[in-house]
Amino acid sequence: VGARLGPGWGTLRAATLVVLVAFSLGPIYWMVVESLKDDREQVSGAPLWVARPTLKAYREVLVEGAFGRWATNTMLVLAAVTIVTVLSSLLAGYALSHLDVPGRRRIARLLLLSYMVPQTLLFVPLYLTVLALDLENNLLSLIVTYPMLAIPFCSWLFWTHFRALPPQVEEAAMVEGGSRWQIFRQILLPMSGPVMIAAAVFTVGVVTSEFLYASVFLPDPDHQTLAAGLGLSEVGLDELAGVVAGANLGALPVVVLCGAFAPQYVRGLTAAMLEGA
Amino acid sequence: MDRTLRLAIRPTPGLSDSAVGPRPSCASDALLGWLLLLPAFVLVFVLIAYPLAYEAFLSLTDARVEQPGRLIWLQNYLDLIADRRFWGAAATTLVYAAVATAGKLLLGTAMALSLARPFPGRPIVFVVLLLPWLYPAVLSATALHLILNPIVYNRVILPLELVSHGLSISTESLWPLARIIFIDVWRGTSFVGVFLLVGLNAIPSELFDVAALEGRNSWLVFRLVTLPLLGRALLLAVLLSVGATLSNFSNLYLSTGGREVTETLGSLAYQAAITRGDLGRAAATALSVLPLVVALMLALARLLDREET
Repeated sequence: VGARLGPGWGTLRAATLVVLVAFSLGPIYWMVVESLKDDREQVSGAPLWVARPTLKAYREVLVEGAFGRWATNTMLVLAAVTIVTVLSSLLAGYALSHLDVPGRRRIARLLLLSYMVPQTLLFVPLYLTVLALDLENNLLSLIVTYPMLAIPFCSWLFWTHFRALPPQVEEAAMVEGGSRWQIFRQILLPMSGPVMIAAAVFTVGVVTSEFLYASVFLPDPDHQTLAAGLGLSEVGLDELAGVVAGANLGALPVVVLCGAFAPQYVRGLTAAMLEGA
Repeated sequence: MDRTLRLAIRPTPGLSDSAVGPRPSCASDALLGWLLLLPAFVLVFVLIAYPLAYEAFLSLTDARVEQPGRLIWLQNYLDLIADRRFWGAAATTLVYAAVATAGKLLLGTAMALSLARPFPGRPIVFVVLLLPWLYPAVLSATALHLILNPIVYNRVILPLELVSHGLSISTESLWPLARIIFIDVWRGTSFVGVFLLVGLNAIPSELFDVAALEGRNSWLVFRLVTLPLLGRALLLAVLLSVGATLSNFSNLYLSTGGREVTETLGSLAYQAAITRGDLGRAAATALSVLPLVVALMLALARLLDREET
């Protein structure tokens, strides 16, 4: 919007961008610097600078400790939850936009609004249920509860996306005798790629930021995810680099993968939001 | 947007039923619809409704982890009302949610507006600004807490002690809340910014041209063209951001190293349940956020309705 509005705005925009980039990168810079410190610098070094960078912390994280197991658990949970969430949101979005479900508008609205129900509201009864079903320290407890955090938004994405598709295409296919399933498979599904990616990226973002359920349902360090494992560990000042290095290592694949999909993420969100304009 | 919906439902004129073949009846249509909705329903509504009912019952008992407990009706709630820590935590929760949401919206709007028009290197700047959201929040909150604490204590609070004892004490007591707000805004800005950017992209550019031709100044263009059309995206951003902030117990717990110097309603409930095993009290504490959540949901439902007509 800036460029069109005269030279003053161009400068303002550049300044804003510089501030925002510094704001974004600052904490990431700290995390990288901290993870590169050796034992001495962790205690007495400068906070924003590392004099003798070393990869020792990373080496230790990878060799000792439960990092490998936690990372595997995290990946299992992430994969299962993302598949369950995207599939059930896709089906729900299709049903609400294409099938004559009574009160579908209300249902779609209610689904979206249920995103606001905080985890802190429900963890006590959920924990007791997990105990009663003997699912404590079982990753299944997270795989069943996490979709609740992402389905509200993802099914709304699919709902608006499917509603916005021009109906003529489907009608033409129907005239040619295509069944509902064929139309879904051959027309709707291929047009939904970016929205599926947007839903998946959103789900990964939500699941990787959840700590409460992970820490309550998985108290045993042998069965934890990265979130619970790193979050619950007791840290002395000289062990800081190890934890931060673990955080960076755990974050790296997520950041790279989702960063690579960033253009599709934006395209998918746009596809769902454009309807209405 | 209602138009698209109506077009989708209405049979196209000139296309008689015989040409399409017998359309599946509405009843079987609805049945298939319910069937496809089932997974989402079970995973969302059942997993909210059942625990909610269970929790409402728990809150009326003195159940503990090791014993089922008996009905004590409203005693847990009366205890809460009399507890000063509860009111402190409620105030902190409100301040936290309000300030963090305002911060995210403000910085997110700035981010969206400055990214809206192409410039050299925009894709790179975009990904850089997306990084805080992509970095898994639990990990960044853990790491940032561990790093920021010594920096602020050594560089800010200790030097202040030399200047004035009072100033250092008040900074120290504000610091935990400031820290969770900072970490939340850091990550949330990234998400809200992308969201609003997408909303801006959906504004047809002719509108800006018309406004420019009419000689409106840029502030007016922003107020008369951009802001109203951004409305939908802004509303959704508020919804998503308040939801994320209210449930952001992880941020609080992790960024205080589990010591919970700052208490919110969520952390009080956690303490009661996990540390003390007092399930009835924990349930009552957790449920005390419900009126706020329901009020926000109703307000947003109404705004979304008004915006859609």
